[in-house]
Amino acid sequence: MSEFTKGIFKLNPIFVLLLGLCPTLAVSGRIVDAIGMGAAATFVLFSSNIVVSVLMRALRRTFSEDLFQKVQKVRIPLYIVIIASFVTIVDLTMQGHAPDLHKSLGIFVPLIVVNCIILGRAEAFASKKGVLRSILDALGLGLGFTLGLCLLALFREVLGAGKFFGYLVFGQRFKPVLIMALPPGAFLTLGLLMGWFQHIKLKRRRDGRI
Amino acid sequence: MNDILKLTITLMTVCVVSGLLLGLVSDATRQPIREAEQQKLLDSLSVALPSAKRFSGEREMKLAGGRSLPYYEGYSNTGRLVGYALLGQKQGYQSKLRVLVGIRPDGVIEGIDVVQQAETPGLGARVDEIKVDETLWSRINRFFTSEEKRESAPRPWFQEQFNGLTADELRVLVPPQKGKGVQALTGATITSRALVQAVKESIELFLKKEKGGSRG
Repeated sequence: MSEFTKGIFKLNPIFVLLLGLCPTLAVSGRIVDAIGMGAAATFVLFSSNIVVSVLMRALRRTFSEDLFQKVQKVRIPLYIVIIASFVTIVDLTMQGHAPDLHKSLGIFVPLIVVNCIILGRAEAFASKKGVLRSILDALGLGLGFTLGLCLLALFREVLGAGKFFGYLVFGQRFKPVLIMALPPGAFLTLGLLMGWFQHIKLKRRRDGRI
Repeated sequence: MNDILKLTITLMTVCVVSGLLLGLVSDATRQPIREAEQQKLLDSLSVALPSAKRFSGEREMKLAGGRSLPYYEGYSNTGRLVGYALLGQKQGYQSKLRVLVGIRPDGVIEGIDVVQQAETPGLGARVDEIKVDETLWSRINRFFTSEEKRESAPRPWFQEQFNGLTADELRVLVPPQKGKGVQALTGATITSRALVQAVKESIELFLKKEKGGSRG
């Protein structure tokens, strides 16, 4: 179970591992986009973790120890091919069945290929661990990524557009804080939230809970 | 040598399998993607030219300097030509604006629809802004009382300003003032001007060529 929960706080991809920051900054303007991006990344992470885990176990079994060491040399291309395939599947499916979401996420769907969270988990976790644990790991980190995006988007949409899920929060008279909707707003929010996460982490450590 | 062969085979197998998989997915999604694109075009055309019920395929009008202006013809149910939808474009503040302009044969604008823009959020991107008067609280309230929502699919207010104007009447009103024209978006004068220019130019070019009788 800790394989699952660690992704949400202890190894949160955005606030602790600082991975996948490029899409984080770009698609955290609206909560709807954040959920869409999070779901897409989680699906890719989930699928690629399973395949990488199964494949590496199979290779370890079929090849001799010596040869397996050599196969390790081509592991990165293997991961990339697997990840890219799943990303293309998501991209095409979204284009056909959720064209509006596809349009607002834009280039960031294909860019999931180079999202460090996914390659990072394939390399650091799935290639070494069993299938079940890899699934839990993927779901946990995917959820952590999605929640992180939503948290950022919550601040940015409410302050930057005065809206929540597209509905006005403060009524017509509210003048949105424009900077929150622009890239600097993403950096500011991210920095503050990161500081808050670190603060909690340090406090917990001081209390001897970790 | 043997080792290299095994490595190659491993990589190749993975690539072939994922290639096959992608082929299947591409096949399965080709139809939905095409339908979604056509639906989107049809939606845009209906917004630009509400009086037309059927549309021709994309036509091209050759312009001077090797450029061309894509346009669609709109017909009523009885097959009468009721207007044209022109695809104008212009560089905005930070992105290319592409706009579908619906005009009647006499040159009066029926409607416009911005089909592509990536302007600054909160400034130029407000060309697509739809006035929301529903607050989160009234939405929640509506959820519990299951009250029906009144209007259907409102249009961006900025784009609605073009309706009923002719190319000659198109001008940007900065600062805000009364009179015929298009009220500029606050803080996004460049985007407002560019969009008005795109609409105006495409109509003028189209009508000039149309009157000249040399349609291509």
